[in-house]
Amino acid sequence: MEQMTLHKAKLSSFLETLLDNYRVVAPQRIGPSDIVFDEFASGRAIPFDYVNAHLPPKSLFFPRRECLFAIEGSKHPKLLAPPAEKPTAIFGLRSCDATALLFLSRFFGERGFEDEMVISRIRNSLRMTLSCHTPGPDCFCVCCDGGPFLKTGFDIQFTDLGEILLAEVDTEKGAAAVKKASTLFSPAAAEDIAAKARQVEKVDQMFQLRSFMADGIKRISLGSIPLLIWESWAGDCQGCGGCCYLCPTCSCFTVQDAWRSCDTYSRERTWDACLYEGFTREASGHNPRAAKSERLKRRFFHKMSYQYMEIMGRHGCVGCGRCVAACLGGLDISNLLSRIHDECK
Amino acid sequence: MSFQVTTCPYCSCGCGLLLNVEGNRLIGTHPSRDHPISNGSLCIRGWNCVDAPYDRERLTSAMVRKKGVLVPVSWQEAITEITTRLKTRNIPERVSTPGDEDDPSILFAVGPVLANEDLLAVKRLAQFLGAHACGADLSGVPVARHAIRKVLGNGYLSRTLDFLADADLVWILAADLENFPQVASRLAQASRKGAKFVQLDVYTSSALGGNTTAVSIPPHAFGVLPHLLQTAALELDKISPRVKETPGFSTSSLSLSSGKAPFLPDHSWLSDDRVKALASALLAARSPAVVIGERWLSISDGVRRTSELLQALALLGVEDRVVVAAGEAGSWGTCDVLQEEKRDAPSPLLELLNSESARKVSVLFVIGDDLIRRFPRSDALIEKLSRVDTVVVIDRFQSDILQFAHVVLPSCAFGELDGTLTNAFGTVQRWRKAVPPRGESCPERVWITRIGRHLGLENWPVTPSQWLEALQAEIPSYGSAGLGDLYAADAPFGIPVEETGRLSFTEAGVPAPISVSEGFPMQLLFAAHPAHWSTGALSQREELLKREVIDSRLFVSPADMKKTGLKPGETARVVTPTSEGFLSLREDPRLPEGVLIAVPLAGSQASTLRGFYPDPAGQTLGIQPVSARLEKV
Repeated sequence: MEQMTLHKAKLSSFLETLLDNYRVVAPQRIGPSDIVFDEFASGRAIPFDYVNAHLPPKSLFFPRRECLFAIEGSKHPKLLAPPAEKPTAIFGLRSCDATALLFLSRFFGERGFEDEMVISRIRNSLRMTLSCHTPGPDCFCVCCDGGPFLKTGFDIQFTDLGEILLAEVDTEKGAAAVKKASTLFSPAAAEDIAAKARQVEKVDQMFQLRSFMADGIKRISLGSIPLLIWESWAGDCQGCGGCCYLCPTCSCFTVQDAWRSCDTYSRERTWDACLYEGFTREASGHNPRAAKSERLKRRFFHKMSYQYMEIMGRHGCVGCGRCVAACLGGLDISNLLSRIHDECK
Repeated sequence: MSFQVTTCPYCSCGCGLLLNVEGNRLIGTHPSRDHPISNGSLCIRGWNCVDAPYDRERLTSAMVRKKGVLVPVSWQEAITEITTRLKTRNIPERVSTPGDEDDPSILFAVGPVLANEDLLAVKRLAQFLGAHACGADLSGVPVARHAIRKVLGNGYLSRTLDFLADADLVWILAADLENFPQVASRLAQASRKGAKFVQLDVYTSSALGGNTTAVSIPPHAFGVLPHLLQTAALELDKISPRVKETPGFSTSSLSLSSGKAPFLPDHSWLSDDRVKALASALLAARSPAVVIGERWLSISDGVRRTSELLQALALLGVEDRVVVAAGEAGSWGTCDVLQEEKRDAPSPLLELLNSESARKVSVLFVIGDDLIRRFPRSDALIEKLSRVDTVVVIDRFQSDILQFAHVVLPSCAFGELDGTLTNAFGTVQRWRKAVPPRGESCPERVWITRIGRHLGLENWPVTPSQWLEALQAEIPSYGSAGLGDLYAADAPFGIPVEETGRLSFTEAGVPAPISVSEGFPMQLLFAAHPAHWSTGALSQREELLKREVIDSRLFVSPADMKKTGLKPGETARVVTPTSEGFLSLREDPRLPEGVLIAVPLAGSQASTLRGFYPDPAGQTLGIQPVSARLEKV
């Protein structure tokens, strides 16, 4: 793995070199904790002292709402394909989210079928991670093999060393990007690599939240949590769907036809949530998971069971902690695993 | 791609959220982590609020009824049609002295979804026409606001929600917490820290966990509770000096104390010892809190009963630790701008809902609301609407009220307009425009301005900040709050309205006992169907949802099921002294014996089993229990 350094002051110049080939996206500060991934424009300040964007970057690859195709005209209808897109180069991706993109990549493209729209966006993207130097109070990636530093799953991994960024290049795509801006980069010194090693050790000790993963995975996989317990937990669930929307590995969607103008209709894909009562409701009105407890149980089976690990190659949580902040009922993954540990005998 | 910070358009909590815009289209939303209410979370409504502008039933062009059918016309033609109809009512003569003459036959009914600026526009035009303007929400926030002003002298109770999360004892009065997820969330946090709950309601819920004590209040006895609490508070004699020093405070004026109590209806459901124990626990709590729900506010003579409740809570020292879980995004602003609590007479909208009222409404503006859906059981309303000369509807979506409309004007949906909203905690927040309006849609204030100009009323504000300035000039507490910063580049999420007030006590009045009709031993209540706030409509499954709503249901306790030999899913005959109907049965273990809850009635049943009707006291819509019996078909 090639190791280079980039002065922080030159980051914008580096991102500008990518604009020809990519839609470049970088974190933008809206408020003290409100960070979003937004299109990079020359001269825009890029924050480094953020925990993470609350809306996961999966929205760049698997948008909240997207047009799959449109039909125009009623007498001689024309099929309109969505416009061609530039590939996305994302800077500031946290390790947990980069890991989640690998998970989505498997879901959308490596299980015997390919969702062309999503998978091509992920495959064509340039993923530039920024390792965490200060985990947030809700973060627990360290328990989930999701970070805070990665060994693979990125094109370039940046580590904030103060004035400079250590850049570790893992792919040809990453190497090409660095080569194009080679005058901005310098070879990393042994001191820089040692500084990163010290940071890895330090950050590992900074996590405030730990998670009882092993116990939870075992009990969920074996189905040994009584339904009564699921029912009592489900009482806390407000059914907002926020955990699903904010989860960087969740991929539930629904497809609907939308009216755009007098003679144009589009078929659109939007995010959906397995915790919504309507998610599994069938056209007949029958709902195999009508009870909230059944939906909650199913969600965690998808996230945490061995059965799904076999299919997806890993469990479905990368420890980003977004659900910890988003859940109105304290049923985020970390908390629920604690409840399993504390309440199940 | 861009992001815009704004305020959720649904309930009165006013969560902060970020809109995600792609091109000219709202793509999604997510909660603000910095906002003090949302704090990184949203409920299902907030998460899906961006779907509204693209709803299939969205109105996008002006329409005028011609030969019995609403047909699209230019907005100029629609405005001309409205003003022509108004001018036949001798408006020009009154223009010279606007506001001097009261014309109660013109009524503006506004829904609780309007920005403060749009409400101000309505108020101005109504004043110019000498007309009445009132909020369509009659039983929630207006009742709370009346009572709060009466007892506390200011406009709001608690200014935050966070104290709920740290509470160790919470009383919950007739609140449906699923409609206020941020309140429920704070209570869930408190529960996890070991808080205890006392649920005072017609039925009990286990949603708050094992630490809940339930006090089951008979449906007709809600009004008795404040008196029991006042009496207990006075007898415990732990009233703080702060309260005792309140001007007007006198134990003798609280007429139920010291043996002076006149007849108090039977309260075997809450013995004197138990109410004292509850009051003692509240007094002893480290961090007490009280949540008052919409169903409490909807009880008969709601303003009086809620005032008495607040008075009782003041005696127990917790009147500043009360949250009212009620209202929609524009409810509190409607009270502020239309100053509904200053109106001495009952809401003029009640005249439309009361079949015995003789007042004739000739011109009705229905703005941002579907009165038919809001008051689904009111035959009087439907009958009177069909006789109104001119009905003008300004709304975002097609709705049942359109069948009576002569002119329809399309208004902006969420995300398409700038403006301010006032949440339940007295904070004025921004709505920000993120995408252009669809079709000919305009903010309500623009339509009102056009109508006003056509009638000769000038000097309307134009820009959002000019409207805000006008609002500040109109409402003193908004003027002193310095709301101008809301349009600054680094604007805060919201600016709290600072109002000061002082406690005042009024003499207690005892609710009249409700007589139970012979042969009708049960109490039939009516509940709103919560489905339109749950997943169906918002995740684009509205067709299924509509099918569900039509299915009227009757919830019955297991004991009554057993007693009557009825089974869930069966249809039963519900007989009241004046009517009868057939409803599909559902068993609800939360219900006490003898209480039936119907949700919602539709079709032919709407005209028979009526439970919502104008309160005889004239203050609000009362959700009165109706004596009933259940029969096997």
